[in-house]
Amino acid sequence: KIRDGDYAAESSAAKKVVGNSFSVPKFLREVFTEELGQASGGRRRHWLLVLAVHAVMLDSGFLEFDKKSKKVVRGFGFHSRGDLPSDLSLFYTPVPRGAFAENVIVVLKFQPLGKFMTVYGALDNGSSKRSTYSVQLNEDRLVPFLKFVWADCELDGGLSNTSPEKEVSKFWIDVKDKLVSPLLIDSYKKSGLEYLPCFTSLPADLKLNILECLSGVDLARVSCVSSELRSLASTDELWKSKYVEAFGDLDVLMFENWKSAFVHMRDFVSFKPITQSCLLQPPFEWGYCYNHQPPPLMPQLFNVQLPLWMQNFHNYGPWI
Amino acid sequence: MAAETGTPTTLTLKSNDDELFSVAESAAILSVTIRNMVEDGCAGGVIPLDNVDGKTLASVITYMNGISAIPADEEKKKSYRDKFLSDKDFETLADMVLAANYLNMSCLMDAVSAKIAQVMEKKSVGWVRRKFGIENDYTPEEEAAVKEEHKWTFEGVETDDDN
Repeated sequence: KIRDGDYAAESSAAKKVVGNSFSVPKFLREVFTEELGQASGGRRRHWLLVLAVHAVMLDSGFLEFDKKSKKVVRGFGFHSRGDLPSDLSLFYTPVPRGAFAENVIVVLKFQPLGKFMTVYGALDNGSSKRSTYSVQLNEDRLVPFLKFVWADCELDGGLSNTSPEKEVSKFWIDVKDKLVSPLLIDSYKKSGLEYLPCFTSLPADLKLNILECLSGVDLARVSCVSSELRSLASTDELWKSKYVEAFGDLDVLMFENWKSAFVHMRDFVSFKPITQSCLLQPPFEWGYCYNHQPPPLMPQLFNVQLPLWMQNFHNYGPWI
Repeated sequence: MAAETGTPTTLTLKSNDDELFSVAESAAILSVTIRNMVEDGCAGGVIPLDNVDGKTLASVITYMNGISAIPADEEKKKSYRDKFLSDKDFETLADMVLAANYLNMSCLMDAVSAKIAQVMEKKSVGWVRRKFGIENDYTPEEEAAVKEEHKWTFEGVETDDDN
């Protein structure tokens, strides 16, 4: 029997890892660093995929469970595990939420075959009538990206035109939709709780479809709802389409992503009519136009030399 | 197909809770999944739809019949869709978006997604959490930080009416 105290401690430990980072790559890096930090080169490679799947489980609210000691395992304990066995099984238990006291265990089986690794997942209840889910991962394809995300090392030449963040997010969504979310839903059923169709339980691509229908402002506000939504609502593709929708197809190269381009452009557009009328005269009333903030990157955006009084506009009052 | 021969073909669809529905082939092929089955000639008997329950399938079929009765007029189709979705609650919408995805009906899928998005429009963060059953997994410090970063989005947000 698992004591509640252990659960609480572990779930807050898991939360700590999850909570501190907002994006998938960051979260992965933290898990990798914690677990693989001192391992030597050859052994790391094989564990990377296992650990990456492990990270998705943690992110979805599962914790590893040791069947012998009937305890939640703190940390992945990579060092004590040696080389990757040909059939690895890991057990997990969902972090209890509310009435989730029933002891539900799920099992993941990792089967490497050449460059492929198939991960099977099912409820560990011994009955033959249980659903098994699986996802197949291509080690050759994924490991370079995982390594990159983990250690920020150089990508091989052939991969340089792809974005590791994008590849890793694709992996993340794939594992979550095909393996982890169905397991979570089954765990709910097993413990007698109804898993209502809620926004969280929709597959990620359907969530993205919905978010795409939002306006830029609504999309940005949705980031505040939860860390999962923040991660989804930060998708660069999404913001590119929001940007084009709002401001037309402009080449904006000086921003790190389309979201910040959108935010700055939005500030600029709301400011534009005023600049045009003020260009020839000192800006006596700028205090009211700006919400008392400095102008948002206008010179950088259009690469124009502003008149000196505009550069030093802070000196003009009244600023409240 | 049905329209050419003049004798409307009927398909029988079975939901995952074993309810049977008959629907005109011309309406059912709005679903690309079903259309592929018809074209492959394997729609003769009962078509089992393992991922859709009876309640959801009933409304999807209502939609299929309704929209296929409207001639090619985008305006009218759009207003039919709006009317069709106007009285659906969130759980029904979530079921429908899953069903539309499974049946590969892009028009229904887009309409339902837009409807769900419309529900979020101009709504406060807390309201979205409650309405969609989303757990707030931020720590108080993180939430303060993320709200500060997105302060510009809170202008004109409707105040909570159902605290």
